[in-house]
Amino acid sequence: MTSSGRLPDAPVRVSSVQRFSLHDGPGIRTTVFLQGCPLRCPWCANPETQDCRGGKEMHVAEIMATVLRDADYYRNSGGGVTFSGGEPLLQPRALTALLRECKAAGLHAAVETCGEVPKEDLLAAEPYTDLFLFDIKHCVPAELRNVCKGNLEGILENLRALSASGKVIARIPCIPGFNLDEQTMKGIFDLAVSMGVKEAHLLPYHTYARDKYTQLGRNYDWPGESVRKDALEPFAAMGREAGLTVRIGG
Amino acid sequence: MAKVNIEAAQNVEISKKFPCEKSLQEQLEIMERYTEVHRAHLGSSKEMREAACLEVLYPTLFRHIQDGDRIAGRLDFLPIGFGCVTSVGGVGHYCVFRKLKQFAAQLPDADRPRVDALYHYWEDHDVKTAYNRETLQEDILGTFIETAYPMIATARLSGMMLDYPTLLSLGIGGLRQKISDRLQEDPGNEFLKAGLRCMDLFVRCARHLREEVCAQKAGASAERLRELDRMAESLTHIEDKAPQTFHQALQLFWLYALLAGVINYGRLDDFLGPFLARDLREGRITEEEAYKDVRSLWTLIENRRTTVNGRIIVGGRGRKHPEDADLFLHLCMRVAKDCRYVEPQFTLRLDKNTSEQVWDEALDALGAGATYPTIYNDDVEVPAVAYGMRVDEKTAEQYVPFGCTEFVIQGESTGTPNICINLLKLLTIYMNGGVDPEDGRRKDGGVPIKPLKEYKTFEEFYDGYKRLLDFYLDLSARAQYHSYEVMNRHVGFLFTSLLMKDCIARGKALLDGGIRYLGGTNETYGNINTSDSLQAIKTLVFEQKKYTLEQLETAVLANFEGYEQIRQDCLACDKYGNDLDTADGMANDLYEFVAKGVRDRGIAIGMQYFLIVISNNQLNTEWGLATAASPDGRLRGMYMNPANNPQGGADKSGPTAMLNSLAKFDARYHAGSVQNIKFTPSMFNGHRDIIKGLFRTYFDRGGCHIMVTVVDSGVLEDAMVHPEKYPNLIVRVAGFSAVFVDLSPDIQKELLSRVLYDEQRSLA
Repeated sequence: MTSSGRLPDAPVRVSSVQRFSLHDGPGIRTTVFLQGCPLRCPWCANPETQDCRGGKEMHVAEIMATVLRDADYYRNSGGGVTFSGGEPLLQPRALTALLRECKAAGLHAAVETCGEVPKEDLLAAEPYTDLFLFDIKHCVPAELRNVCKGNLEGILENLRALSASGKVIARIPCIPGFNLDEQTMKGIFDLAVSMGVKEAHLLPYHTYARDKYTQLGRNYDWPGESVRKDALEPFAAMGREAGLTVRIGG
Repeated sequence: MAKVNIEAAQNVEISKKFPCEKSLQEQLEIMERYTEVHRAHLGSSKEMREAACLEVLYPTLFRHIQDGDRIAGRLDFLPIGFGCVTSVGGVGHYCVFRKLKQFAAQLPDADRPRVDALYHYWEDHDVKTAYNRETLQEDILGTFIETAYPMIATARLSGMMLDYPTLLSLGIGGLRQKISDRLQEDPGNEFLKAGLRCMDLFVRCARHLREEVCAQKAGASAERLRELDRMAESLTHIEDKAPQTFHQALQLFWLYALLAGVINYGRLDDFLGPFLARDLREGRITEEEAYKDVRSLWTLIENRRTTVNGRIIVGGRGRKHPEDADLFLHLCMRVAKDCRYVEPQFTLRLDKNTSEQVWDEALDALGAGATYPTIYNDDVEVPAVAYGMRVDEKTAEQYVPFGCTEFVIQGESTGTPNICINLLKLLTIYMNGGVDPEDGRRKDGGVPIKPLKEYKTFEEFYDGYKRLLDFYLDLSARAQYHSYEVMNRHVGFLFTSLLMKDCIARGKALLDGGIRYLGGTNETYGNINTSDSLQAIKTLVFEQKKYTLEQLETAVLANFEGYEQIRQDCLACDKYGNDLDTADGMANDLYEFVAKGVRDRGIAIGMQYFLIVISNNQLNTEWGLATAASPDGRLRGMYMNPANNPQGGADKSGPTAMLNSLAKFDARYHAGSVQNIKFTPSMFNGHRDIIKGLFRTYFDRGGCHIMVTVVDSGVLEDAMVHPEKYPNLIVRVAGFSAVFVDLSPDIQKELLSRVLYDEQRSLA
């Protein structure tokens, strides 16, 4: 039992728990990858997390036991726990339970979301969350719908509802052939600013996931080479011009 | 009695030594003279014999002053001579028979009989051989480094770190006076009389070196002339007077260390810092000149090429002059970063009060690939040493690591590791009914061992293994203690004794009852392979009941050939290094059994302390080559785990989990345990705050030590294929650093197997 004593019985579908994560929020973190995602981005770095039926079942207490083993490291490095996925808000009750446990243990908790989730679930999680890493992948609804099967209008509505909390950092995956051009990036930055976002992280596209697709028996057919960090400098400058604090990398 | 191979390699030797400056004929003559003097003094006291023999060696064996030397003193050594340790020469009156044979092979045939005569004489008088003849046991206890044995022993006096503060405050004249005063109370005391001869010998050496310095003046540049003049002046000064300047202090310390034959140097910051501070304050020296002096010291230490020694320790609790000491510390950090030598083993002690500046300097040097400093956590070590060595905390504050990590109390204790034990080999012997699967020889020492099918519970099985360990641990304490008795019969280690408490006061050489704390250490190997094997047995045989013990043993004896599924199941069991209570708990249980067992036996036999060290130079690999397959899934002949780290690749949960596992052992029961960690430059240098948070947390949680290699992924692999491209690539092995391409391929592979932490790892 963890401290709050309110653990739901329903198990959580988890893809993996990764200690010493450095790319999902500040400091030393443990990232809990929850299973299942509503989007189907063809470059997805975690394709094994997409299927809602995949992963393994774990109980909240079990997850927290692992998370708490590194609590001292979080404290000494300004780190904490990040719930990622997949889309963690596809399991809203479990996520909220986990977040409450983190809060009770005094851990900094971040949620990485694609935003394609019911608004009430997002807002229910908000009081227990210290930081949202909120994806903005594109500024044109048709593009997001065609390529990722996402609904930009709904996502932006959620973003607007959340950004008043001041806990949002926008994450922009920089994908050549999808959004990595001046016009689209400018559009994304302007959108972010108009939603009240103050900070954005540009994530360079990489192809490390290629092997995962092979293991899953799927084709990895997104064309293009990994993007070097320094190639994103001009875009970062553009974002700063739009009024954002911009960092390259997670 | 065991058959003794007197030509066995006696120690790990990776760095290549400089060839002797003397001609072969001169070398032969010195060895003959030494032998004659030894023979002529067989009827004298051991102290007088030693003094007479030292007078043959010094100052004869000093090399010429080299360009760039700012401190005088380089020594050669020969296959026959006098020493404390195996890495420079040998132990006591020694003959390194293997090297004597190599020497003979270079001589004209006519001279061979002269060498044969020497060989023959020393067969009966080499101190280590005498020890081996009395101590070794066929199939049970071998000599260094014979890996067919489960345990090996030697006679040596490693790791002495002298009371230099006393030397620097008294000077040679003052030390001489102290000996004379004591001699007046005890006029027949041979130790003290021989001590006075040592003081005379020191003076002769200082004068000899001054002549050598002056000989360099012809044709020297104006700048070099100034340096040589300063060296000559310092050498004159230290003949008698206590040092006044930083340079005099350095010169006195260095020359004394050479004559004592010690190769670890202690807390230089605390005893040299005040001299440096005063010179800087009074304008006698600039910081740049001091930097050059320290750099010269670094070079002199590197050039001794002891492979695993050369300790310079800075920082930590219990310094008498912390502010002055920090001036010296900062210089050392710069020198270590700039030089990137494999020696000195530059060591930083720190605690919660260590400044951010010192942390940053240390991480800068490590980030530059220096592998130094290696870092000890005083918040854990000081109370642990106090308990382990049974001394008060103030005394414990003067602990210093030497060699690969073993601790002594500076100026007050011995701690030489004269025993090594292979826990994994013993497990393979135990499981095979007392017979080593590697050579079919019985090595159970008569301990009764039941057939595997009779063990009904894991505890019964484990208990049987512990009975075999008991036999070996008993033997280890006796063999360690006996090494002191044998050495004491033959030698006084005069120069060393004169600077160790309480030898002069008691009028006794250090092993004759002079030393304040007679301690020792026992190196344990294969700890983690053994506990992981026990964990696999517990899981597969007694919990899951998937296999019987006999089935597991059959697979292991077949080196898992034809039993791949069993091996996969063994590998899949919980492994130490992943912060799991199961495997880490097993590792800790075994650790405490062995560590407490050794400690208790040391106390019982009359030592101040006898503690295990978990260090393992490169013996984890060499001994692994001679150890059968094991139930942790390790194949026959494969390296064993390094020091206190997991088997390479067994830790799959990232650095926090691994460090949590490492921090679980109670440091009170060992006298040094080293922990390796390896990062890519982008991880280590690109995330400084993360690294600091990582290390600080590890230390807060009870981590006692960390040593760091920073190397890019793929570089070690490439260096194995193209060694010529990487002449200066330094890596941390386990308790020492080495040029990677100088290591043998087996050891290179072991280093490669260790997990390299990179920032990319966390890109899911």
